[in-house]
Amino acid sequence: MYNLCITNDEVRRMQYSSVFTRQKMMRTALLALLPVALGSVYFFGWRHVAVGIAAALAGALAEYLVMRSINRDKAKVSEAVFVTAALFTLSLPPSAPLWLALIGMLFAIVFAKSAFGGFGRNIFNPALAGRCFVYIAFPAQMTMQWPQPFSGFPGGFAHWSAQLSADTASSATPIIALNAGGAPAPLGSLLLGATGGSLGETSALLIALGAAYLIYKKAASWQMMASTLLGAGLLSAVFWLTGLSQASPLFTLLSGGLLFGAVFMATDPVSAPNDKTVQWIAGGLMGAITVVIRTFSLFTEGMMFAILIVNALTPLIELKYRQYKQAKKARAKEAVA
Amino acid sequence: MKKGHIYTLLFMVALTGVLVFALAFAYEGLKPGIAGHARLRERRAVLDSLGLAQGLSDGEVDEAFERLVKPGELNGHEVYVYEEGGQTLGYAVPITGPGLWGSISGYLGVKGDLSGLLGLVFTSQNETPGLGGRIEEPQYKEQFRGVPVSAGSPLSYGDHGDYRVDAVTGATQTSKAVLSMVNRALDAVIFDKEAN
Amino acid sequence: MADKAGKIINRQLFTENQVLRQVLGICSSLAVTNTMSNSLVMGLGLSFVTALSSMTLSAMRSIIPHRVRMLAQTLVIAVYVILVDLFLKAFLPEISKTLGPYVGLIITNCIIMGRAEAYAQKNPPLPALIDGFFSGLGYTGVLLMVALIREVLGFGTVFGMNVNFAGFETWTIMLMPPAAFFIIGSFIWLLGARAAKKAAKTAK
Repeated sequence: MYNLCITNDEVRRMQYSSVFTRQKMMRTALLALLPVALGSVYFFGWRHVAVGIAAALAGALAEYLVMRSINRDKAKVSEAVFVTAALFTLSLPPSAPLWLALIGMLFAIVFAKSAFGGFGRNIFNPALAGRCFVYIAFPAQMTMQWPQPFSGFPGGFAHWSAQLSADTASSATPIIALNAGGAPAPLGSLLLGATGGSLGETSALLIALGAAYLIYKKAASWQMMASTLLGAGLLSAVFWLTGLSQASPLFTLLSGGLLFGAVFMATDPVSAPNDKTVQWIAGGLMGAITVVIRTFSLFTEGMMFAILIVNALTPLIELKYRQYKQAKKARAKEAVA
Repeated sequence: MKKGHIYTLLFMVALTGVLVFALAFAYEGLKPGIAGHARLRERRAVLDSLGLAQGLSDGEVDEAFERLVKPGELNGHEVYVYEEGGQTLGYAVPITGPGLWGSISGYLGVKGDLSGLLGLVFTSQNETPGLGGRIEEPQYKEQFRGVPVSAGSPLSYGDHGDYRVDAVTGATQTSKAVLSMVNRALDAVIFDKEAN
Repeated sequence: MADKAGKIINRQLFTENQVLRQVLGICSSLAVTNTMSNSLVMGLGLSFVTALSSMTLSAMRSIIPHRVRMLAQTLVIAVYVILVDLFLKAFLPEISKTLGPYVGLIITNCIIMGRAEAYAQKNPPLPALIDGFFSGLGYTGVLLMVALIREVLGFGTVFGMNVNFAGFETWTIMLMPPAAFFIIGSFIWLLGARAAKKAAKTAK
């Protein structure tokens, strides 16, 4: 912490590549987010783009300063901070204030990433950890204010921000409306994104485009995505058929942050497991826990908590799986000998 | 100094004896005061739920409670009965239920003729301070005084013409939990319908 | 042979602070630091218990058999903790209700046992009293610092007096124990970095 001072000389000598580590996979991730990001502007206006840029700059600065106190002159900021900023901003409600985004981003970078040692060493998904922090710290801004999306042409591209309507009943997200006793929103609107919700989560179609690109470029594991959706879908079917929940499996999969989380958050290369089998287990757990939280608890958000919980359990699952495989190998060897 | 086993045993017995005696002595001395405080808090809550606790000092709480309230039962449930001048003017029903973070407990005051509420008071809750915790604030609790009740129409938030109750802003879950608790208590105790 | 009072005080308050350097007594630090008045009462209660139990154990140190010393320590500490609990219940019932089970849990606070083992059994009663009391004060100091952050950001008050300004949104998470985790963690991080830097400098 006592090496925070940067000299003038150092600033002059700084070039992009001496400060940032180039990461091809992160650039692919940003490209994959492009459809969702453009969609978020169409639905909700331009304001959050400015918020996102501010968050990215704040995060980069924070990471640089903290890494500097750890690594002295060799400190570099990973390009992953831009992906974290994008994911974090897209997971916020459209009306989230700038200060809230900055607080969340700083928490994510300082406590969920740099405190563990920087890129490659974090256990938890930083964007999600930041979101969880502001979700609990500022419940009014995070759960109560949902502007309705623009429609038509040019939609939000011609607006700075979407208006919050005074009528709380209509300015809810599909899940909130369902929990309040309303009919489930039509699947078409969930697919296209004509509903309220966080910036990135409303349009299943745009998320699917991003997923396709990520899988095509091999930048994210399709096993993580598939297992999460499978786990959620199966458990949701069970709850729906037994009458425990009003949400049909298709509604569960297309509403809330499930799709966005499964495609962009669960697949974070650092916090997700490496082994494919463990990925199936972890993803399945993430989906199942999401459905459990959505059905039985008073929270409407399940995915965020589920991913963080499974992040915490992943090292244990990987360890047990490794031991199991070693035991199997040892037994096979004995059988041969 | 080498100490033998006998010494160790005797020492522990003696030490335990001395300390326990000292503690018991202190406890006995302070017990009336402690029990008094707990009882006072409970009594004040019961009186408040019946709308009788305004501006009462601690001494007056005891006097009022003994004069006006006594334990009784209603439809098979234990309640406090508020009687004055030979007439049953109200019931204080103990209520409890799950909140967002833990369970919430308190008393619901109901009019003697079972037509409306006298008040709502909480004795314990673990809700988010500043949000759900605000159910303990007068602004929220006072709304319940005088709200009419009848079997078959559970209370809900909003303006209903003959009464208006608003949830705590930003604490939807806790507010919902409180109203569920109240409605359940009304069904079970006042209107004698077993909740399903 | 016995330490001078000044050295004991400096050690307990700063260089070997129980919470930030020895990382003891964390559990209650997380729970009671939501307001400064809770922290103050808790801290004073702990200081009282640690001081008197250290003094008592030190006075008895020549007659306590070595193999049951932990039993004896636990007994003595428990007695003082129960006395504090009874005192609060009888004379400060509102504070007792707010602190709840954490008063009774003072017995589990490692600081007290730590001082009893590390200091009281090898030193005379008066230095033990001072050591115990100031280790409790060091703990209280940390608690107050954490509580200041938590109360200002979470309630907008300091000791119940309003200090927030228009447009300030309170941070709900500051009212919950996890916030204390992060705050204490940050303090330990800062002090640890400072100590490491000092050590690196003297090693050169």
